[in-house]
Amino acid sequence: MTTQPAIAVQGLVYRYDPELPALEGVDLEIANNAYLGVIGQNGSGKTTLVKHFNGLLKPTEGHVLVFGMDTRQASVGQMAHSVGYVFQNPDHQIFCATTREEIAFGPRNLGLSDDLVQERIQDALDAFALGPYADVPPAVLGYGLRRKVSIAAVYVMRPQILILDEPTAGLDRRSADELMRRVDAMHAEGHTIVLVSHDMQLVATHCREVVVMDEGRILVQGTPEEVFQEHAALARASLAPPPVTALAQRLADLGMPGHTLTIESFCQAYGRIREAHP
Amino acid sequence: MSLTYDLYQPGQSPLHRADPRVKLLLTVCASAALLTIQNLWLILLALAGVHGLLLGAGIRRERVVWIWRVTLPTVLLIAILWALLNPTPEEPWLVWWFVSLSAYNLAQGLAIGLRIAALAFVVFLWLFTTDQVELVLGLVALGLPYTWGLTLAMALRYLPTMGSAFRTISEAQQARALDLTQGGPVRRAKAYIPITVAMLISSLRTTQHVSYALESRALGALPYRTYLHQLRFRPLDWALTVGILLATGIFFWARLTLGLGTHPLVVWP
Amino acid sequence: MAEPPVIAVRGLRYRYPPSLPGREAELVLRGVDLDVARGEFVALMGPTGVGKTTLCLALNGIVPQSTGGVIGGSVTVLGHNARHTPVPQLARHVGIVYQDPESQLFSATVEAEVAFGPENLGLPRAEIAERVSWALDVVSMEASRERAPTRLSGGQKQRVAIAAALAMLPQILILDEPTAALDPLGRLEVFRVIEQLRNDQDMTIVMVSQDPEHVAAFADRLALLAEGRIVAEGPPAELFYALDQMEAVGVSAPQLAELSVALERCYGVSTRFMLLNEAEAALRAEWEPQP
Repeated sequence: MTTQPAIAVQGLVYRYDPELPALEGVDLEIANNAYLGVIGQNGSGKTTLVKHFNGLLKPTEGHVLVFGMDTRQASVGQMAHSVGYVFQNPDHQIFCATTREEIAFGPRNLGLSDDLVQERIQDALDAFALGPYADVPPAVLGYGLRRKVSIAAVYVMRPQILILDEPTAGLDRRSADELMRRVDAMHAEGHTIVLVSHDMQLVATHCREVVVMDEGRILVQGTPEEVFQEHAALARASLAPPPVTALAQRLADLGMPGHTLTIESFCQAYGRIREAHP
Repeated sequence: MSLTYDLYQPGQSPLHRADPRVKLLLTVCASAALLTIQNLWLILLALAGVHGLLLGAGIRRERVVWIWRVTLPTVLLIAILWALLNPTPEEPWLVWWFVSLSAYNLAQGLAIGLRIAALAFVVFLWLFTTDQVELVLGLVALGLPYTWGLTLAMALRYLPTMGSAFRTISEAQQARALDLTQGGPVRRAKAYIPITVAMLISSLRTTQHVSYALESRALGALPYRTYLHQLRFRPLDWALTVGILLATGIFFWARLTLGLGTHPLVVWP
Repeated sequence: MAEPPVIAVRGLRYRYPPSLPGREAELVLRGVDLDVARGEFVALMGPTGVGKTTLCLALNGIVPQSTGGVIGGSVTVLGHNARHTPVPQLARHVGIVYQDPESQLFSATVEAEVAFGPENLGLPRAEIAERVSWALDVVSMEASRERAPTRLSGGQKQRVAIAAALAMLPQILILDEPTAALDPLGRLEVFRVIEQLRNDQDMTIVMVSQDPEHVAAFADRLALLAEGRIVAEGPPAELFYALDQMEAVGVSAPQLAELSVALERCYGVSTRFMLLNEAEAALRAEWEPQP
């Protein structure tokens, strides 16, 4: 048996909707249990691309296969069994009278048993510290909490593939860290994660693979270590590596490796260099 | 394609440059005239005319197609029901139970259906060629309070935004396994509740934010306000006004004394 | 004699009206004190839900005049009592840019958007025209005058929103997370405009931000808001290295400030840095032999 990718994108062209940036031929394979970051400026086609992964958009040309199934053959509602998608704006989904109901909406649509739904809701409420707000209408909560509710409402469905569009935008540091710990844990359990973000530090810290989008095409792809050294490509997409990486690259002549992504790896490399040149 | 366009289409055509009041007069007169006729040929002539004006004003063809797509279901529904269900004064071709069909009925049904499309085209002709500022200035010049004009302009401004929001909300709910494609009509209608409620909440929020923004930009600071642009009623506008009024007068004279357009197939009965 | 602060907030307490009948809202602001001097750029940071937006809205009178609720303490802006001076009147002195571009750009063209404020102030046409051109020029959007705001990029939209506030010639500009919805390029565009406003117009700026890198580079003073109070304030260079405090409040420090603290802890690198150029210079100095 060959290992089947979670998502296979073949010759994807999309240029139907005047509101969305077009895609001009994208080929991409996302392995099962990948942790992929998609970066690029607004209008580069990031969101247009990932909206194909759960069938919200259907290719004008080419194919998108999710676990081998062509997304043209399934409705979004059916795709939701295997692909979860967290939208950027929580107000585009909140409608229930209580937070508990809001979180229950997805699992109920999946047709899960009542017991399992209850168990999952409790788990999601705990995971996002929403317990105190379980019986409050989510619409009256503050933005940060509404954002958490909207993420919990998808998290609770435990999709095999989880797509997050700017998950940490509008969240403070602590909530963002908490959220990313949950996402990392899902990845560790075997889920496939696709993260669309403008936050290069976030992508550098969490993702194992990165795709840079520009004008509807994939400009570069590779590990974060590789991608954040592609200066020409990043410049073309108007992106810059995270500050620590940029600093390491400026200090390349002193022997700092250009693929330094985190504070920890910077400190280690710094220590090694100091030992070598006392 | 959904209603995600701005309605106004910038341009330099004579229609774009005509005073908004003249365009409003044209819309009102043309609508009134259309409402009094049911002759298929005249309605087709009116449709051809308004298409000519739209395309002449440089309105993109997709926009015209879009109006057809929006109105066509209604046009067909009305045409078919009218043609089949209305009693005919002529010898019918076909009688079955309470349904009868004749050339008269068919033409009348088509005329009344297409009249809806023609009315829509006349209104969109006004909206496509008049920008928000002129629209408000026109209404204020006609004596309406500024806030009424502003309210109308804002409604038009946020219509496409609401269209986008509706689409995104529908996507977000479907991504939570809401299935809009399964089941009978009742189940499908119920499936739209999560979308409608979320839409309502999100619109209320937007409305509140817009009202804060308006106040922060000094709306209501004084009992009056001034305007960067002024409407100028040019000689051409006078000519157009006279032309529109004259044409409308002649039309109604012909309609009332000669019965113009009252018969579905015969122009002058 | 020192000039009195242009913004003086004293013991500000505020509770929104109940969002549901019978359920009293919590106190959002629990005694805020804040002074802002003319020409100063104060950044406000804090976790979500601690009242940053509410504080912004109190500075231009929306809180409590439009929101209702219960307020205590005082807010004085350029000598005006912001609790009672009508919002449209305060708009001459305090401009505000909100987070969401969509709900603050309500006009069909950029020009109409920027003219809206001056028109409400009843200015003569020639002056409105002059102010519109000037404001669009400041934010470098003159070329897009006839375009629909909905068609612009995120950064351009926020620049138009800034121009729309500027056209009323305020002395104070409040910005509530104006870059939260923007991509890196858009963020930079907005911060550049703000920088320019400070240099050329001596504008006083209060900005809520979740973006420590830009705050470090541009702001004079940072105020940390937590649980309805200002818990710390000072130059970014003072607060950003106090990582324990930042952590306790729940706010990110610039990544390089964190690196700086880590290098000190591990290797005794004593020069502090939080900007890229500073960092490069500091680390090179560590290596190169002292003269």
